[in-house]
Amino acid sequence: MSQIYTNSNNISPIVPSQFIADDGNSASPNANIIRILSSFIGQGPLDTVFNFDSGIRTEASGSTIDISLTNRLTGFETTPDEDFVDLFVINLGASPLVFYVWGIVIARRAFTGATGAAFSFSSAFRTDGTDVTLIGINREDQYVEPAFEGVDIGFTTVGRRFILGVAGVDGISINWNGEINWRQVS
Amino acid sequence: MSQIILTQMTIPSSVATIFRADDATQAVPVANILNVFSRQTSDDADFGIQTTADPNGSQNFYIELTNRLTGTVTTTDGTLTTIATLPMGTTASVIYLSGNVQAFNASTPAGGGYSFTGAFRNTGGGGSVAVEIGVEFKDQFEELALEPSEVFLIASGNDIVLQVQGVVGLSVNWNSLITYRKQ
Repeated sequence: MSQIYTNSNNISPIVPSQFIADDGNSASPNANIIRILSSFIGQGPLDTVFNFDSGIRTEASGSTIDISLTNRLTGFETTPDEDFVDLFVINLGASPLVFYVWGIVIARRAFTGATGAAFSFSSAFRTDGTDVTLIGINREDQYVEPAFEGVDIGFTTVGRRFILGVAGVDGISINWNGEINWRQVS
Repeated sequence: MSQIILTQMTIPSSVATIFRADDATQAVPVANILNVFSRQTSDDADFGIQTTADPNGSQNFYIELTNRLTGTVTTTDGTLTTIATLPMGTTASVIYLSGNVQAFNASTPAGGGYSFTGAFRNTGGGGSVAVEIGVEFKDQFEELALEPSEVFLIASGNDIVLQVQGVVGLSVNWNSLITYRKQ
């Protein structure tokens, strides 16, 4: 009598095949790789959909988990002259809300980097879903080197948009970089 | 009698079965699922961010922003109302904090935005008491209907307490954020 024993012994520890994030979506490894990346939810216009009280959020898609700081926007622009250019255009959505925002804007002469400026600000405004009412603005710091005299930041509202613009100096290419943090209540 | 025994053993490549966090807690997948969540905490951590498994041994792995707390409350009159409380603990320390408050009254409608900074010290030990070193209110943006409203930052017992004061006859929704450093 011949006997053949086949012992197929697969070792299967409990390993995650799904990673579920705050948004309820799941990511699954691709070729045994899961990507955990820092990201930026809601890049571009401020959107109240991306309002999270904790200031942090995870989202999952495909084989990637994104970890993002929320309620935060950044913007970049270059000005060739003294005309105002929009650095941030904040679309406030259709729901009545009050916002408090605070942030910084820095400017650097392009190419040479020989001149700089920095500003900080805070503001509160309210939207009824159609228009924006400015409650107050505080221009806190305004550090400007002499060669940058005339550079400025400005705030306007158009419809339900809150706009932060920057203005440079004629004939000088200036790179601008800004960050806004925001909180809201309904 | 002849016997042939074939043993096929598949050993997987090294895979993670335990996910250990900053505080040495561990998350373990359940039914092959690991939850990767985020949240905030008022815990003091120098980096401003930390990871933890909560509960320890569960499938929940958290990424937390630290040194941070938020609060919400609704006022209907001028009564001082606590919106956030930051305990100073029993170790003698100094805390510098900054934050802001938003206010919304839907019926008028009207809004407000406030910001503040403050420094506090506590005496430490079992009977620790918080002591105010200094408080500054920077922004006080208010529409007309909310002009009577106020924000206060005080020491109470061993806590730092953020209070809001609304307006008689108006329902005001408040939302606050505090971030702090501790030494």
